[in-house]
Amino acid sequence: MSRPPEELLDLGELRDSARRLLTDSRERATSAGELWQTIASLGWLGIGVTQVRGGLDQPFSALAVLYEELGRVLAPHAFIASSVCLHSLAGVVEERTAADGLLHRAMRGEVILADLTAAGASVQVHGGLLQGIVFNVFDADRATHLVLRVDHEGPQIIGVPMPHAAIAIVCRAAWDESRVVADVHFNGVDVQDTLTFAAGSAALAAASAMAAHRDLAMACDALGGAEAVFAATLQYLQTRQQFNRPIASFQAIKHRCADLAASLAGARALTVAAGRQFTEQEGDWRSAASACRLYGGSVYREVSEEAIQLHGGIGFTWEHHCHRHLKRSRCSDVLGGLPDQRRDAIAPALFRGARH
Amino acid sequence: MTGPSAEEFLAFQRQWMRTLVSSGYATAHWDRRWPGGGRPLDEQIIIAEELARADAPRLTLYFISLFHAALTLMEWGTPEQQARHLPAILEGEVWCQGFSEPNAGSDLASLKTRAQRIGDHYIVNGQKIWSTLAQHADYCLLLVRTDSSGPKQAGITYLLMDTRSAGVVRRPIRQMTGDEEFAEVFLEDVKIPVANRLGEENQGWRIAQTTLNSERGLTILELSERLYHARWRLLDAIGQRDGQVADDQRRREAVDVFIRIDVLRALVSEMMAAARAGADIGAMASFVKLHYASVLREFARLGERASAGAHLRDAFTVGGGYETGNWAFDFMNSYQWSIAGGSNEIQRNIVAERVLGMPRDKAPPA
Repeated sequence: MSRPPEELLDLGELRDSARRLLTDSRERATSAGELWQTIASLGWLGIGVTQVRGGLDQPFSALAVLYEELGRVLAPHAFIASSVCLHSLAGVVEERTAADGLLHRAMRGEVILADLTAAGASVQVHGGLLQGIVFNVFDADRATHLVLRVDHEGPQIIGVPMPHAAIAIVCRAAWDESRVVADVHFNGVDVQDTLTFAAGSAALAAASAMAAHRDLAMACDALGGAEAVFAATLQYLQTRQQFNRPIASFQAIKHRCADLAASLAGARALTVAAGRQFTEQEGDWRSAASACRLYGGSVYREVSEEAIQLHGGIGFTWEHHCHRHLKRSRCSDVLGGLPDQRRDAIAPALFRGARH
Repeated sequence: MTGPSAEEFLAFQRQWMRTLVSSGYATAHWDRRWPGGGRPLDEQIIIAEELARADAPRLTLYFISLFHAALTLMEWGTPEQQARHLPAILEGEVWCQGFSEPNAGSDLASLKTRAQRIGDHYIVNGQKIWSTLAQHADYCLLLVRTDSSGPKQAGITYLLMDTRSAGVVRRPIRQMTGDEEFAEVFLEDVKIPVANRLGEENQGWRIAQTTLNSERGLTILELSERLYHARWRLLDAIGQRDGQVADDQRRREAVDVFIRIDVLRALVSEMMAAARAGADIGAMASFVKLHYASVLREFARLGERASAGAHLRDAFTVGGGYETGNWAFDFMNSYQWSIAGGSNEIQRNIVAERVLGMPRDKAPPA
């Protein structure tokens, strides 16, 4: 994974340009489709994919910047879903297959992938037909293809084009309106209608890379959201005057902000470390990614809760954006299982590493 | 004392000091003129990490001598002062720090211990407190007030005091754990030669910053590594077998504590990277200290809850890190890190005002 430094994008510049683009499109109310095309034309979708495969060959730190910036503006999940699939599968699909062609189109933004692999292999194959329900999928409704894991003549990662007569997407009423949460029902999809990205050990390797990548992306998304709502809170505290001074001068307020800043600094340090570990595939990078998501998610919860209290009455209103972060932080937790399930899953690896 | 007697503690520390001085590990941060000195920060970090990995005893008796006294003398001492004390420190001269006072803790610059110059001497009257192991010290880094007319920082002078001078009374403070790691120092008409002044008169506040910055993160680096290597103690306390913990709640709480230790280590390595690059680590140091104080407390709290009653007051060994596995002791002792060296509240003020740019509150009229 080592590469000459001159080929690396400047992360500060990448962050600035991403923030400008996303802020600008929010102000101009650019349509989701138009923004998607812009993002694709900038190469964001394949930013970490090798150059041979048509990507920009950047380490995870570049993706982290994009995930954070999208989290700041409460972006839909489509970018994370497509990017997780693309980056994990680009290295394993065989060249010049239909699956390879699909990934190239995904990198150009012509197709949108939904990531159903977070739920593991919850769809069964019976008599050549896919049956089952995948719960709590984000933004599946706009996807042109669903990516999922099945066990059919061994483990496989497959894609299913949408819409499909035997697939029903049942949207859930969710508090978080920044993403669409849906259950995807497979009512007998013919496996002939699907294409295979990876099978056997390659599928298992890709699935575990996808899980770690998704965890890191969600951690970055949480960090971006937390930093945005924290920055807005600080600004409000400096502006709001009571007793003839900005309420930011009260120690009762300052100490809580300092604690939040400490949590954010911790989340950032852990995210940088886990991202580097993922790029280098060093040590137990899978557990590190999961731990990073657990911590990042808890910090997003903490910061978005405090943001509302620190804003006072205005923070309790629908008009103010605080509640959007509070809701997104909760909703993010359910993707691919609950935090306690993640704790249980990494406990053996963490505990083994601590032996005397 | 919970652990060994004071005599045993002193005897062991002397021996361990000789070992670390002769191997060069005690003086890695000294300049190259000294045996063992002149090592780059990277190598100092490795030494701290390896001491932690080995669960080696901490050189607590000589900590102030090797860091605070030595580095302050190297930067501000006259050739005579350096020649008098630096070789002596290597031979085991023990130093303590006389900074805090009963009414000057977080607000250190308001200190009131007075020094009046008469001829070739200062006559010092006042009281110092929270002076680590001062009861065993030969010399003291002493901050005194020589001028009360201007801003409080501008009237402070830095003296080197022989603790055996007439008029010095030291009284150990017994902590809630039963240990005596700190002392009060009472000063009554103590004569200190002007030759023992560090820097110029009324320049002491600036010199004190050198003293306070002398560790450059190495202590907290070592302590966070010790906590990392002591995680197995917590697993034993919550009943692990082959990496499995049956109790759901304990298992999940332990996972969170482990993650927070990783967060701490990630922050520490960022701070050390900044230190290596010669950057100011002030803000990072506050974040690191807040994280360390809080995760250490949580570590001990979980162990204490899981082993309730198992560690009432049985004997155990102190002298390593802050995680002995006697959970009630560890819990109580963890307050050192949320109070000493700039309390959590002071750290939060620093973060809020210097990092986040929140306005200072108006102080009440003096």
